[in-house]
Formats: sequence, structure tokens, C-alpha cells
Amino acid sequence: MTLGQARPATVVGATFLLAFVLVALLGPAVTSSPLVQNLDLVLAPPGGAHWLGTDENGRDLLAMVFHGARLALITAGSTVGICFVVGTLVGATAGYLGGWVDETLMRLVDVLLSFPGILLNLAIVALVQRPSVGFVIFALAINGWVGYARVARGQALAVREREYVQAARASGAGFARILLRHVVPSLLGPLIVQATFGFGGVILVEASLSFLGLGPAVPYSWGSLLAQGTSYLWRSSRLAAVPGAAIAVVVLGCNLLGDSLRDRLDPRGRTDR
Amino acid sequence: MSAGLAFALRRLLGALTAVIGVSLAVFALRHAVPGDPVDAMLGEQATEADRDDLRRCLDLDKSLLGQAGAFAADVGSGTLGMSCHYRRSTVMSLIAEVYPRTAELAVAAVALALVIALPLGIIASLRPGSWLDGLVMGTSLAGIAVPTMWLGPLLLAFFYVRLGWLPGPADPPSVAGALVLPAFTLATHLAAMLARMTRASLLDVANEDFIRTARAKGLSAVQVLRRHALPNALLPVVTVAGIQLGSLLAGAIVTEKIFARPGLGTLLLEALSVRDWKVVQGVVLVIAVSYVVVNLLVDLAYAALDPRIRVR
Repeated sequence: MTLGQARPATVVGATFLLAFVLVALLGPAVTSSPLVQNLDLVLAPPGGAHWLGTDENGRDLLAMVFHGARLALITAGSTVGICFVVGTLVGATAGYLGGWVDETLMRLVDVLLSFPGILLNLAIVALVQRPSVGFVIFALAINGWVGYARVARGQALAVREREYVQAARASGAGFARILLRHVVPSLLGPLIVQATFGFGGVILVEASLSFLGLGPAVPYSWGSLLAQGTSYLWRSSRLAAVPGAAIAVVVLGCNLLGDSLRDRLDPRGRTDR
Repeated sequence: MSAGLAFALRRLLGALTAVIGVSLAVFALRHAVPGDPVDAMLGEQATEADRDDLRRCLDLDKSLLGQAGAFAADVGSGTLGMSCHYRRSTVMSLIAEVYPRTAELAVAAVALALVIALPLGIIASLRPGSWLDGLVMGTSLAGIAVPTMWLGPLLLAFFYVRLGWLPGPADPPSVAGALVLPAFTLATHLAAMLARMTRASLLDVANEDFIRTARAKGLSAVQVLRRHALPNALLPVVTVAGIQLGSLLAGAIVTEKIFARPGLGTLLLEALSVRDWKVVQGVVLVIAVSYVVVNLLVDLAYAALDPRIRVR
């Protein structure tokens, strides 16, 4: 498929995400430090040296949002990466081996799913006074992998009886080799779809934690920018509008791209029937 | 034993396992990370007597096994223990005070989400690919992407600050209309999801044989939709809405903070900020149990309505 044939939704979604990644990678280099305060220039409107104006401490809003983008990319990227690998291995192992291994692993998945996810994330980050970014990633990953495990297990169950897997087994290939070379590659389509939606989900949960004051201990995460902006809503809606729009754009991008990828990679879940 | 009873027992057993698993997790949480909660609650300047007192209240003077026993006794007695911050209040009495506020918010949000989503999903499914369908699908995508903690303040700024039409954080939660903005904020994401589900589900059902039969025997489009398509298509949608009721008990935390509403979330955040671990444990446990119970009821209701489920 060339770009000209892609659906508008796909192009828009991919553009949003590409813009986000570019801003996260390059943005911090082209803006000043998000922590520099200028108390002579408090709540300045957009213009001049501050394209998006300044916040209640005279900090440049654009710099804060750009640095927040990098933080969001690091957090969501790492969380999704960890969950993808752990969930795929757990799910593929359970589905391929079956029996008591499957039973045990899936019981663990059931327990984690029988619990509102954000509650667990919240309880874990609240254990420490000021969580580091790494700790937040840990808290998000602790139940984030179960979605991937369920998808991987369902797919692995289906492929383990296929001829090429049986052929590999008959030719004496070991468990790890069969799993990594033959089972996992055939699961990747639905898992990539899951990861695309999951990325947006992680962005939202991380922003919620930060909004509640339980996120990474930096003032420029999108959720904490939103929380600060909310308390100045009566004077200026800009401080809340900008980080809120940033979150919405990334999540929308993930959903648009996820929908199109699902239609291409995962025929079971087509939305346009 | 009948298939229905076996199904109910299996689900009940699953729910019990989940609640026990959650209790263990909640207890383990407190011990998972090093650091003295007494320091966090009282600060460095506290007197030794105060520290001992708090240590006793948190059961930290007991062995790990003793603490687990005390926790089990607290759960067993139904009090969930005494709060170490709001002395003289049991954790359960603190929870009972705010639980109805969160429950009414979650129920209102689910009801509102269904009221918004079902008509939109049905309209979109009638002419797939039309501009109306595109509009509904586009709006619902935006509804899924918009963060709750952004939508809430925007609604407040507009309807409370600027127009003054609806009550806001400064008004008591019992005043008429106080539920409107919080419920709408909490419902948006769910409504968007359900509208998409309704559409997809109706389009799925439209290809079924029984719909073709209904059409072939000369029923009008409205009759086919009302008598045959909707009952089949909406069952999964309403189920998801029911399951979401449990999640919304936890999801309400952000909404309650935005609107400064008393509730389980507000209580949890307060308890977290003063490290009142018994209250934290209690709230987490109560939300988890509510979630499990709601899911169990939805499962059983679904199985009662759709016999195909039980055999799977």
C-alpha cells in the first residue's frame, strides 16, 4: 500500500504520533530549560520570546510541554516495551505448553484483571514519597502486561497445532527455539495492534497519576501541568488547554492508527464491517 | 447439578479467589517497599511516645505473621480496623460515609453513557459509511481520546464559572444538579466506547440468518430492528456497561478530585497523603470487592439472559 492509498484516518493518526515523537526527541534541544523561572513575566500571554506564554512562575509553557513530551515518550515507550516482551513470553508459553503451566499463569492474569488497574498503579506509586520515572514505569508495567499475555495466549493456542510448528518439533527443535522462531513471530500482528492502543492508554494513566500528584517528581509532566493549569483556570484557560490538547492528540493518534492496523493485521477485530 | 448452577458456582469460586488474591496483594503492598511509615506520617520531630503510639496503631509492633493476623481480624470483624489519622473512627465508618456518593456518581455515569451511546450507535449503524456515521464515529474517537482531567475543568470553566448554570466545587454535593457535571465528565469516555460497540454489534447482527428470515417474512425495517436486531446486539453492550460500573468506582478518583466531591477517591487520596495505611488498605479492598461483586452479578445476569454463554 502506498501513502496515496492509505485511509485519511491512518494518515492523521500516523502524523499525530510522528509529530509527538519528533517533538519529544528534538523539542527539548530547541527550547530553554523548563525550570527557569522569571517572576517578572508571570502568566504572560503567548508572543515574543514565549510562543505559548508563561505559567504562574514565569516558566516558558512551550519548553515545559516539549520536555513533558520527552518524559511521556520515555514512560509510555518503556512501559509498553516491557509489557510487550513480558506479556508475549508469558502468553505464548502458556498457550504453547498448555496444562498446569497455562492454568497457573492464567489464574495470575485473572487475579490482576479482577482489579481496577489504575487502583493498583496508584497504590504502588503512593508507596514512595516522590516516585522516580523508573518507579512509575514499574508501577504501570506490573499489571500492564496482562493484556498482551491474553492476546498472545489465544494466538499461541491456535498456532501450536499448525504443521510448521509440528514440523519444527519433529525435527528436534527445543522449546525456546520453537517459541521464539516459530510461535512468537506469528503472534506479532495482533500484539502490535494491542501495543498501539496500549501506548495511548499508558499516556492517559500516567497523566492521571501525575494529575493526582502521584506521578514522577518533575513539574513538567503533562498530568502535573494539567493539574497546575486547572488551578489557574479562572485566570487563563491556556495553561490547562495546552497540555490537555497534547494528551488528547497523542491518544487520538494511537486510536486512529490502532484501528487501521487492526484492520490490516488482525482480521478478527475489524471495525469497518 | 444443572449447567446453570455449575456456572454460578464456578463464577463464585473465581470471585472468591480474586478477593483473596486482592487482600493478599493489599497486605503485601505495604511491605513491598522499604521505609518507615511512622516517619512519613509524623515527620522527624515527633516524640518517641507519639511514634510508639502510631507504631502500635499500625500494628508495626507485631511480627509479620502477627500483622497478617491483625489484618485478617480487622477484615473479619467488618470494621477494617481503626484509622490512625482520624482517631476514634473505624475505617469502615469512614468508607460508609462516602461510599453512597461514589456509587451514585458511578451509577449516574453509566446510565448517562447508555442514554448517549445507544441512540448514537443505532443511528450510525443504520447507514454505515454515511456522513452521519462518520460524524458519530469521529465524535466518539474524540470522546475516547479526551482526558477526563481536561474535560472536567473545561466543563467547570464554562457551565459553572462563565454561565453559572450548574453547581460546582463550592456547592455541597447534595444540592440539586450537583451530579450533572461530574457524571458527564465520568461518562464521556464510556459513552464513546459504547457508541462504537453498539454500532459494531448491530452491524454484526445484521448479517445473521435470523435477521434475513425476519426480513424475508415481510417485517418492516423498524420491526426487524426492534424485535430481532436490538435485543441480540445490545446484550454485549449492556454487559460491558455493567462491568464498567465496577471500574468507574476506581475511575471516579480523578473526577472527584476535579469537582472536590467527597467519595472513595477523595478519601483514598487524603489517606495516601497522610500515609494512613489502614484507610488506604480498606478503600482499596472495598473498591476491589465491589468490582468483583459487580462483575459476578453481570456475569450471572448475562448467563441468565443468554443461555449460549453457559456452555462455553
